[in-house]
Amino acid sequence: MSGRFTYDWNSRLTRLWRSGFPNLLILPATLFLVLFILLPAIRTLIMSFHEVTHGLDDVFVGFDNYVRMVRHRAFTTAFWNTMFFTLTTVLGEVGIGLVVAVLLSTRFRAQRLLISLVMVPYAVSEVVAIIIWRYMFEPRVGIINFMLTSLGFEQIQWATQINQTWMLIIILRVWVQYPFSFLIIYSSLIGIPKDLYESAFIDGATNWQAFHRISLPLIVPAINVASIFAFMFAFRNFATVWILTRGGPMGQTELLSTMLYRQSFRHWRFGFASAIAVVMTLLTFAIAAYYMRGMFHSMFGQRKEGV
Amino acid sequence: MTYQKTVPMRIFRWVGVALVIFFTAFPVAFLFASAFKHPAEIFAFPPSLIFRPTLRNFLDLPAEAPTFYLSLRNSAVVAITASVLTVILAVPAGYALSRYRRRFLQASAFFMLLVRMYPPIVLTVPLFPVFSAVGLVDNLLALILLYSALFVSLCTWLMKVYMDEVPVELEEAATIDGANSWQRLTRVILPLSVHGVVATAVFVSIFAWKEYTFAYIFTGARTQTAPVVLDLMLTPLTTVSWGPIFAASTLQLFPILVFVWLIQTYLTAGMKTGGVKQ
Repeated sequence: MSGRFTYDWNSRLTRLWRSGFPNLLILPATLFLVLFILLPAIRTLIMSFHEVTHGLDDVFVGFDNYVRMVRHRAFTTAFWNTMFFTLTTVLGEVGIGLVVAVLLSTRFRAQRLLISLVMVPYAVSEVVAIIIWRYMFEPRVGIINFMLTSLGFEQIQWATQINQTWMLIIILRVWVQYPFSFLIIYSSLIGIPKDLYESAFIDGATNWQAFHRISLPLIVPAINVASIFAFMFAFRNFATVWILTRGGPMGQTELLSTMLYRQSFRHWRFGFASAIAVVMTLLTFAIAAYYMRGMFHSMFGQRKEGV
Repeated sequence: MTYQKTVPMRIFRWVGVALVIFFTAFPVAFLFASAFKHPAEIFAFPPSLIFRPTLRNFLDLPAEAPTFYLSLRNSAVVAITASVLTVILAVPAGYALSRYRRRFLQASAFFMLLVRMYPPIVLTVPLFPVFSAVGLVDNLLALILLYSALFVSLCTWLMKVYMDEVPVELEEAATIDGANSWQRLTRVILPLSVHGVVATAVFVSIFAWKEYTFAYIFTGARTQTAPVVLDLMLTPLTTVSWGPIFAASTLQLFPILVFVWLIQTYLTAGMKTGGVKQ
């Protein structure tokens, strides 16, 4: 009798352990994210409705921060600059990534070497990228400006001419980021079965038709993934513009991210900065929402429970 | 992709490949070369392809940026510690997602997905007051914790994808031989998904090595990482001294390129199965 009781008790404990074990495995990672991302995110939302002064209690101000933000002169500039920066760099990154992926996806000698070469900018810190590109574009002395002068063109004054500042920002951002798009599109391209092309060529298709009718439709999902990631990374980017221009000349390259930094860490207006933070978060999620659904489904695909 | 070897296609390929090499490699090669040029030669035009290499810029570096070597050390400490911490958190989490179905797991996975979308720069606002109150500002631990937090979700996912590849039958066999859940994870799954562990660690360490924003905001004089010191060198009150900057950039960039080169098979395998698979 007692033996049987012990057996039951044990098995119940075992069952409890079995059912709790997987949850226990994921708990540390989840708690870590709650502590460092979820709680701060909630705190941001709360702060955005308060006047936050260091050493004093927060004062509830309703939507004041948001109203002040929308009326702030820099906000409109920062908003449209962010949109412009995001769109141009995403187009550039995904465009170049696509072309390079097509170039390198065919079999040839030194293919692996070239792929590693293309991935080099991925390891380059934004600061170093800016050092390199600034060096080449430096007025009077940079190599590109020297070439322009010797060809009879005017020099690029990236530090004062706003259009040229943007050009430099976009070039170096695309340079740093395109390997990411390249890799996503490339992996998708090399997955396309060879037979598809071979039968198309037997039927008399040209190279362009093969790309247009076979490759392109099959890599559209990869292009979408690359675009959404490129979008998210560009939208939140702070380092590129901050290191190169600090938002200048005359605040003309201010982004939402640099404005957020300036308001919080230069003017110590944490409530105001939180309002910008909330707007940035909402805009990101609006774009990402579509993608997230698909990703979640793929994460819990058809695979059955093991063990 | 496969193509027909027509003449326009060949031209397109060769011109394209040449442009890609030039666009990608020239800037980096130019940087490395300039680091070994005499300051007077750095802005020479046409740029001297053949020059007598000098270590002068490297010798000038300590005077120009006294904390640079310290910052390299800080970067290394942060990169290594953050990747170890992330792996420790991500391996069990990835295993749980790969092998079990529970409501809590689904909720956690969804939460991790949401977190990945969250713009990190936004975190600096609420975290800074808290971190300065608990002494985490000007403390490398702050960067280690933050970098891990930013990468735990991606790495958990990577680990899940890698562990999905390990056949369940192997675990069943281990169970029959009397292994418990923990032993299955450490003795069967981990050795077979070591590629994933390495890829995960590499992602985190590259990110930590080159990260600027959080390092710029959360570090002080003692704890600055290399990108922050480089930024300071680039924005001086007087003129920029390019020679030492190139030397410093080379010291920051070259080791990570060698590291990535040595480990690239792991890395590409990781990208293929992890980041991309739909």
